[in-house]
Amino acid sequence: MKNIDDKTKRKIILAGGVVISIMLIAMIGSQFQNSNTSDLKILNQENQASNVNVDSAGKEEIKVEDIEITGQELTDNGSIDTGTEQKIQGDVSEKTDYTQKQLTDSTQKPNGEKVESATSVEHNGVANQQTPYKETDTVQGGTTNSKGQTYLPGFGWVENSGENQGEIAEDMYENGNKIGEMD
Amino acid sequence: MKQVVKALMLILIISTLLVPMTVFAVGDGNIDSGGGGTGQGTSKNKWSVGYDGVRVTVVRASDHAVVTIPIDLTNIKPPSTIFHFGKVSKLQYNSEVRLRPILGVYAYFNPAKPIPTIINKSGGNNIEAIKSYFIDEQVIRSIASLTGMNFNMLVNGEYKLLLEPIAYYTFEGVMIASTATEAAMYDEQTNGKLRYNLGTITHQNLPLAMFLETGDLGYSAWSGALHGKRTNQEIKIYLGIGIVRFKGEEPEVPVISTYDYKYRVGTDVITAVTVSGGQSNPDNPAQVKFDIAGAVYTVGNVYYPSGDSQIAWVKWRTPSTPQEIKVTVSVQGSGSIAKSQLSVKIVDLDKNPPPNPVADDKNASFINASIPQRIEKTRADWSIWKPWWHEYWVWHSTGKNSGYWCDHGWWEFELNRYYASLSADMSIKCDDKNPTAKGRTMKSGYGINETVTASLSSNQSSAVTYPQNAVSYFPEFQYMTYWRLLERTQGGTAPIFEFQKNKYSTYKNRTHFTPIWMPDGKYTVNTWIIDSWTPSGMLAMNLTDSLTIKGSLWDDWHIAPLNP
Repeated sequence: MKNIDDKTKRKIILAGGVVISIMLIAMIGSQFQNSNTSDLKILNQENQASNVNVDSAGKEEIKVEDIEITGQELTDNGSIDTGTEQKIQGDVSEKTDYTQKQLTDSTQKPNGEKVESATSVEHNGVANQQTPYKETDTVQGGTTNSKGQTYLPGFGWVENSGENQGEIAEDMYENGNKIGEMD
Repeated sequence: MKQVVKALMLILIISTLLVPMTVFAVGDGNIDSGGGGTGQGTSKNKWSVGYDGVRVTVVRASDHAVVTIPIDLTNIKPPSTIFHFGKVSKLQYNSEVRLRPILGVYAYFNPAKPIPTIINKSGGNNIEAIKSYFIDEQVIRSIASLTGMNFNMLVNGEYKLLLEPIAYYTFEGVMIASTATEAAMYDEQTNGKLRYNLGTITHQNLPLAMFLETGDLGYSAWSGALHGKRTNQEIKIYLGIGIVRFKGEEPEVPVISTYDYKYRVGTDVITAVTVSGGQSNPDNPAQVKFDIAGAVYTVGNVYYPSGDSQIAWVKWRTPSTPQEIKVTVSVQGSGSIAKSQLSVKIVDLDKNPPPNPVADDKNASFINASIPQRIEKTRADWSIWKPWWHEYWVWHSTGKNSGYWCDHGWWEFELNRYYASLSADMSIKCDDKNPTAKGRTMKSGYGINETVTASLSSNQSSAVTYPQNAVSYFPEFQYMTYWRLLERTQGGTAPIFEFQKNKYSTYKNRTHFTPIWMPDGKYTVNTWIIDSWTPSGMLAMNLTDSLTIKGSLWDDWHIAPLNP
């Protein structure tokens, strides 16, 4: 390195820096490419000015396809509605009791799930995995099926009813004359 | 070496700045700028600053009727892959309209000049700018035009604008447009998953973007916290609402009833409270005690996840005499209630039957009155959180080839939904003893009979009471002064009601006598069927049926000499 003069050193450092920065941009940028939703663009008002069409009289009627709503038909739930000891629902299933043998068998979890090699974790080092809601969706939101329906978490498969109907309200702006009250 | 380090640092800073910034909502809903999510699923749940709007609904002040289809105003152009719930206002949802998802065909307007920021990412609202915008003449003229409402009519003081903030957010990978009320209802549909992932937007910044400082249109002013995620119940009742009124019209302050509940004597009823605060689960359950006239009712299995709430109710029978009683409510374990003492008024509707009609009754000044709008509610919905234990096994080693499994699990909750739906019908007919009735036409002064049939369907029969009372009102009393409490002649799930036996009837028939002075024309009876109780209040229906009056009882009599 002693044979390299300062000018050459600077060039090497600069070249190295450029390479590193390109790699970083590529790596960070790749984190955003797998997003399930495309980023939305904020409306550019100037570019939309030619699309003025406030009259909605001739608008086609929007037809919405029926959707399949996944849900269970509930019957009575074990509640008690008489006497002075009432319950709004039946008793909740108790936690399962496991035997000492089940609790010390490293080859499988007490619930029977096989484990190849149990990895020990300190009691206080267990990461919080808690989710308070019960997961009922078996399909990832946004998934499209062979019928062209899209999955909405909580509801199920929904038909796409068509293009949006966006219009510019050209005459909507403040003129400074305040005629209403709001509090 | 220093120069090398400096150069590398500079390169790193520049390259970092080149990366586009997106606002993510991850896990507990931290919506702050600065950097992208970490961990699982971060890009699936996000909201960006500026992705907001307002739903505007024109409402008639006198009866709170929604008179035009609501419109959505926003500065963005949502994609056609957006889910939404149609153009339904908070008023309509509060009238038992249910949530219905739609994909695409989202109708919106982009004002040529952007609307003010509706939802601040910092959590505070932008209410002064919003007020200034939506009370502006030109903005209101444009709203009138877009909704098809005549501007002069809109601002004449008989109508109001109901505003609701809208958020456009990505939840579990799909983009959704919702008002605060819709977000609260959708959260129930997802068992709380929406609130968990995007609560800072859907349950904090969105609902707190607008709320009433003065009660109006049946909604009370919000006096609760201005920070923190709100419960679904709070959002549905109080939040995500603004109201514009015109011509100096005063806000219509909600009627504050002296009583929390009004029941009838000898009736099976339901009294409900909402429990919230902390988390109620089988390890730390909330138990609600109702002290009613000396009897203490304990209600158990009341569970809810952290940050949410649960309705708890007790079913009991009112005493047989009219009175006012205080119901004291307390919660043991986690949770609390907003009001620990409820005022209950118990009335007897069988104290005001019509007087005995006589032949020389007269009423020359009679004018037909319109039938009053009595409270009507034909469907009630409620839900119950049900917990279940989610096991999470972790191996703790205690030495070589020894250790034990430890359950680090937690309680998860699913929301079960229930409903009750009331249907009823009534018919009146000429009394069987009427000698001159022809079909549905009769002379005044004769009696009529009535039959009311009702039916209640529910998927939680233990949480409802079937209709127990029906009250009939008559045109000769302007549907007010006197009434008849009907008798339930058949009980059960499909009860039947008829007039009580009339003590003034020669045959003691189930009869109501029309007044002999009743003018010719339509004779309409109004019956209010009530006292079908649910955890979400009382179901009731207004029914009517008519006969035709032609002539009077005097026409059937004549005076003639005996055996001339």
